[in-house]
Amino acid sequence: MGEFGLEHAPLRERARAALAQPHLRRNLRRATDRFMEARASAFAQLADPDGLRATARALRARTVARLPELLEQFAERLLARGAHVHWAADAASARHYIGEVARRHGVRKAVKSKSMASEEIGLNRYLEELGIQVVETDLGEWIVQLAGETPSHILVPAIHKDRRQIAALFGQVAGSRVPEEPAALAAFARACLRDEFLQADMGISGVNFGVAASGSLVLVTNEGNGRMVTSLPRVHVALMGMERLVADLAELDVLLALLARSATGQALSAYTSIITGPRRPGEADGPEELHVVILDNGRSALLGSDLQEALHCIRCGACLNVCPVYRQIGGHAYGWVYSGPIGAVLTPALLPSAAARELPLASSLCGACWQACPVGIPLHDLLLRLRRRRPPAGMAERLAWRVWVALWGSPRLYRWSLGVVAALAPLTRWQGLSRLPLASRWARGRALPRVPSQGFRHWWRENG
Amino acid sequence: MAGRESGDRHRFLERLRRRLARSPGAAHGPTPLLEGEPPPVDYAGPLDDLTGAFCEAAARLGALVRRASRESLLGVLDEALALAGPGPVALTAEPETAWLEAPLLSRGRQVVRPSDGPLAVARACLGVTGAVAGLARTGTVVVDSSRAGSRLVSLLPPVHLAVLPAAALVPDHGAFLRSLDLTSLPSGLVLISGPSRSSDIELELTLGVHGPGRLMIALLD
Repeated sequence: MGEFGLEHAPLRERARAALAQPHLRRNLRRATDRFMEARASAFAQLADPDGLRATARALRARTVARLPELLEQFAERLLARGAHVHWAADAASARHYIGEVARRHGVRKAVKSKSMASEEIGLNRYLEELGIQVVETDLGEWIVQLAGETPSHILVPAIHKDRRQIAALFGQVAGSRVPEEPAALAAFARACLRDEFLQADMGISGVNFGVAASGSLVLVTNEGNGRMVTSLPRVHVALMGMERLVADLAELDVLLALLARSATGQALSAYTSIITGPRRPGEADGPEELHVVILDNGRSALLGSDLQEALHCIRCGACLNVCPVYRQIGGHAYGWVYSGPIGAVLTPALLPSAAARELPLASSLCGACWQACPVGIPLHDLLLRLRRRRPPAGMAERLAWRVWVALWGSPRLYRWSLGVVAALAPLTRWQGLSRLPLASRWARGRALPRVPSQGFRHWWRENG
Repeated sequence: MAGRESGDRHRFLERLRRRLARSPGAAHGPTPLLEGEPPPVDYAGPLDDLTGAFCEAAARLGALVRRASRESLLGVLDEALALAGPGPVALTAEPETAWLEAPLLSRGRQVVRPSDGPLAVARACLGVTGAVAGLARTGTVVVDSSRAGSRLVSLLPPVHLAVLPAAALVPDHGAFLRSLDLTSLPSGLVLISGPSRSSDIELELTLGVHGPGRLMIALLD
């Protein structure tokens, strides 16, 4: 994670580092504005968008409430189809299993399509330590992998890079100059990655939805790399967060209608693959082995808690695009895999780290995320609940609140305190708040409200 | 043959059950649980003419749609061949496509079958498959890889020609998905909406990053 790692620097410094990159902010604004516009016109194709969101919310709530039985059914269907299933309670178990599969098959090269769960468990580094070359194949993911960086946006991982920087990276791969036009860059990537797909022994993918009733895996991509990864190598490993289930294809109908619309503003992504088991007799291609790794890794701790709804997320990224904080600082400053409002909820919930507990503070609590969420997760409420869990405030802050409670708990003292403030009104015109010794950190970027010299109660007595 | 299972299923699910037995608090009132099957998604605007809507939506995504009879299909094939340039053609053996082998051979094209392997399919300049459904609202074609005998013919060549019988048109993905028999799903179904696309470099749209950059759909009347 480099200079933006969660443990490397506090949130305030990570945000400042991001804000100091003008092209990052310009690109972010362009990308998020465009996604928001596209989303609005895609939702206009729905007769009753709010009704559909309400249905989707109730649907996700039911799925998560029924997870044990649905997972059991999903696993049984997978096994009956000849797929292998691994229950991974934590990241280490998932990594170890995937490493073992690779070892058994003598895998030297693995191709990957985008999977946030794989970033969550640090899979690439683990496999590389085993001597396996891991190639990201989503164009944007490949770019950030070549640069030794991490994605800055869930859908446009290399949004922080311009064509000149990308051409320079590709030039290092080619050993010669590569033209800067996006079409030429994409053609170069197609040629390089096509060889990787054809040579790879293992394909690793995430899962957008698992269908419990049929044991199917649903993958949504635009470039087609997800199809390559799940079709060409002889082994396919799918890594799935345990909550990414639908009961059946009727539920899939609803969530597919919302996923691409919320993510990129498309009615459907270019490719929606529904994979049921490995290659069958009579089929010329497709993987001989399919492994599905079902990942808990801290998710179950959210069940039965007041954060359970965070598990309703379908990873569309809509909450990032509308978030006034994300739109300024981008994904890197969040310090881990998941960014934006959902990242500020999931990171402290999944990572036992003091640094992660800062993230819920990076929110204006405006609720735009909740309004954008296709499954209606009340993200602003979840952020507030996480703030409440933070360690108690310092002595000075606790004292200040106690004085406030004492004053405003009694009508007489309340009136008295208003009188004091009115008397001090001229002082509030003073803009030197941040020069106060104790309050300077809090006061940075804040100004006192102008207090009129006559309070409302006083005015009411005279004019009411 | 049944797959193998590893890890501790019982412990994994027991933990979930234990956690779920506690009741979650929710600020917006208790989250309602859906009852029964979700109703079909309701789209704005009527859909009287499936064919017209399909052609329009597919064209909007950058696909080339040609309406054809079984006789005029060869004209569409010629157009696809011209678009693809010289080289072998990968062909599946589906009802809509199998008979195209002889015309291709008579046009001097080498025909690649899925059984020739991924490297051979990857060298083809054109992949020709059938389609089991067309989704009118989104201009999507659905390719069934069990029926096609291959996941790769519609994926590896730079141009993909899908032959779609007009009778297979349905309104939208929901109508298609809800009509499937869950016990007999093929190993691979792919809903293809336009050519392969990416906006990963400066948000500029580029086609054909990994999948076919050109998609042609022959809509058979």
